Amino acid sequence: MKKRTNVFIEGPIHPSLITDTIQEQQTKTTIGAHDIFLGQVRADQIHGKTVQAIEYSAYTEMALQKFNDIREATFQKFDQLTNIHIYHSLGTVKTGEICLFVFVSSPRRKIAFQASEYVVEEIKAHVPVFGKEVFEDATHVWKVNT
Amino acid sequence: MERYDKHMTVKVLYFGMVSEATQKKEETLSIHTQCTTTEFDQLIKEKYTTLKQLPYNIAIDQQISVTDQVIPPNTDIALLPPFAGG
Repeated sequence: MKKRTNVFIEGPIHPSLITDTIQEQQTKTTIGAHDIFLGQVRADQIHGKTVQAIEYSAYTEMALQKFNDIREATFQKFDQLTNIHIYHSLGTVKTGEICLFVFVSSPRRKIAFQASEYVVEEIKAHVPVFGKEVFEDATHVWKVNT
Repeated sequence: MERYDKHMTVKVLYFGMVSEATQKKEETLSIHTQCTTTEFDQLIKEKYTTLKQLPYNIAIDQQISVTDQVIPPNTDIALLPPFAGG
C-alpha cells in the first residue's frame, strides 16, 4: 500500500509546494512522466457580481476516506502508476490562487495523462467539499460542481 | 406500530448551504428505531422548513444512503449539499 498523504491545506496552495514535489521525484529514476493538474479559483461573474474568493469547508472524516479510496482505485485502474499526490485547500482561497494540486507519476506519459484526469474527476464527483463563493460586497452563493 | 415506541439518538451533521439553512453545524436528535432515511428526511424538513428548497444527499456513517435505508443506532447522519471540490 502506498503511503497516505495529508491532503488538506489551510488556505491557498503555495506554488513552492509544486516545485518541492517535482524536486522530490528526482531520485525516483523509474519515472518517465509526471502530469500535474492545478485548480485555480476563477473570478466568475454571477448576477453582475464578481467572485473574490472561495471559502472551502469539508466533511473532513468522509473526505479523507474518499481521497484514500480514490488513490487506491487509481492505483488499481492504472497499475503502472508510480505516485499520486493530492492536495486540496480548506478555508479561504482568493481568485487567482491554487485550491487543488494533483500530481501523478508513471514510467510513460499515457498512463500519467489518464490517471490525472481520472483523479480530478473522481475528486469533483465524490469528495464532500463545499465552496462558498464570496463577492466583493461580502454576499455569497454556494458553488456546485458541474 | 410498535416500532415507533422505541427511540435512539443520532448525531446529525450539517454542511455548506444546509448548515446555513439550519444555523447549526451539528446536533443530537432522538428518532424512532428503524427510522428510514426517507422518514428522517421528512422529519428534518419539518424541523427546518428552509431545507425544503435545498438539494442534498443523506450520508449514513460517511456513505451516501439510498431511499428507505434503515438508520442503525449510534449513527452519524450527514446532510451533504452538492460537492464543490477542486
